[in-house]
Amino acid sequence: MRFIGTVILMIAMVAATATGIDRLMIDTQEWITPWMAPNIIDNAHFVMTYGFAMCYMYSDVPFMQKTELYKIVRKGKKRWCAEKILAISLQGLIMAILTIGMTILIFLPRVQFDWDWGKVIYTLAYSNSIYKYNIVARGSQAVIDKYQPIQAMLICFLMLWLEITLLGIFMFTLSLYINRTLAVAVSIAIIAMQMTVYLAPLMRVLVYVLPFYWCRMSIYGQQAFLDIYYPSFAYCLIASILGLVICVTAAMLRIRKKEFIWNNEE
Amino acid sequence: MENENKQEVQVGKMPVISVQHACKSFGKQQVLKDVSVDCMEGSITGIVGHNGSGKTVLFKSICGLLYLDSGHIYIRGREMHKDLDMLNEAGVIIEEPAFLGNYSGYKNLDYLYRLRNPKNPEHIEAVLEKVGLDPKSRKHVKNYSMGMRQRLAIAQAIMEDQKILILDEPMNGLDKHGVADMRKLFMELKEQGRTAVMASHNKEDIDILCDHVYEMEMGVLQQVR
Repeated sequence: MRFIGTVILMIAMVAATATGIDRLMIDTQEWITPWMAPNIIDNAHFVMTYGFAMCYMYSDVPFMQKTELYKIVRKGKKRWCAEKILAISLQGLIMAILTIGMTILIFLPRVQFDWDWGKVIYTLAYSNSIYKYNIVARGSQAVIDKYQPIQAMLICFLMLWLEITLLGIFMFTLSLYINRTLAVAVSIAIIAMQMTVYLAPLMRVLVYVLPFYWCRMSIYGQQAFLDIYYPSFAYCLIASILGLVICVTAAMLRIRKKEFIWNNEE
Repeated sequence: MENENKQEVQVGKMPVISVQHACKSFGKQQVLKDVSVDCMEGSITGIVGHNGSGKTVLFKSICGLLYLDSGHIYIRGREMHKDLDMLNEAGVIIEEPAFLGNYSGYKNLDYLYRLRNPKNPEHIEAVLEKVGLDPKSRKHVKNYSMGMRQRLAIAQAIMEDQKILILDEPMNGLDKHGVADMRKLFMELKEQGRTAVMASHNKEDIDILCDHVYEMEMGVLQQVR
């Protein structure tokens, strides 16, 4: 049920971030290409709200609920834990596919295929139309200059999947070590910390430790403030994979000695 | 002394479940105090005791859901948490029945059955009929009465023809007819050679069904029959 609720939230967020672009297209009589995802997901507000939505989605991952009893007894603890991790990863994959898909579907029928970024996205990136039409999702010059559309879409999808999955598995692992309430609270706090990224003293550290922020493709390797630089794509990718490996290993180690006491979770 | 006598009687036979000197505490509260019990093949071992006496903790420990502070649990000679991850070869009812509320009884059983077995709708329907539930009913489990949930819990415990049954208050919430039906069912299972450990508040259930009876009081287990 929460997955469906999260999908509805995600659709609303994509629609809100893409607002105004349809009026630009009607006025210019130019149709948009399917490559808006890296530009929409580059929006800082979108990334943070999306992170909260993912916390909501994973808050009902059945960590230690009573309904798990009959499954655990049948599967054994290790297999149960491994399947939970796989399910979280698959849920993240489906959510990433749906989100990317929605950034295309939201503009239908005014979508035309082109291997290049297309006039509308260039206009969003290089003109002041975003102010005229109250557009939230500005095209990112950094992304357009640095990447080919397909390349950008693939990186965008990969990072989105990795960060959603990392969040889910982090919550699962924390719930095994402490409890579900803390897992949800800590995850929300980590996402909310993105609001403080622009405080210079914190920026130097935060941009390197807030995984959901790494979904923003325009930041990779860019100067953030004076001598402060955002992490490179290689750093974001390796750190995300490393985070996943650490969380999965920690969960598999913990499950061997974990006692199943349902009342703590309900 | 009683344990020593029991060992003498059962010499030469390996117990299916053997709990030896089990101790378990939660914080400062000691819930199991040097508990020892052997359950022999084809027998039903009954444990009576008040709420909070430690029966469920003992059952959870036997299933591998909890770790003992000291002592050992052996399942057919294999030590729990050393040779075994969990007690996978048992049909289990522990605490109140917990199912997916938005699915029917059939769907719940089918889902659990297929975790380890190929799909077998006829078998699931037969098991549901055996416990007195309508296999064709689409009623969601969240709308079941307590008695129906309990019947469903019994169905999930027996549906895989497990040789060991761990039954924590299996008669809870059942009416007079339900209790009679389930007694008959458990007697049939016993005759088929299943080994069961059963907890019950109802002395009559224990008297009728169990070969060996223990009483648990404040974490101490004593054999009474």
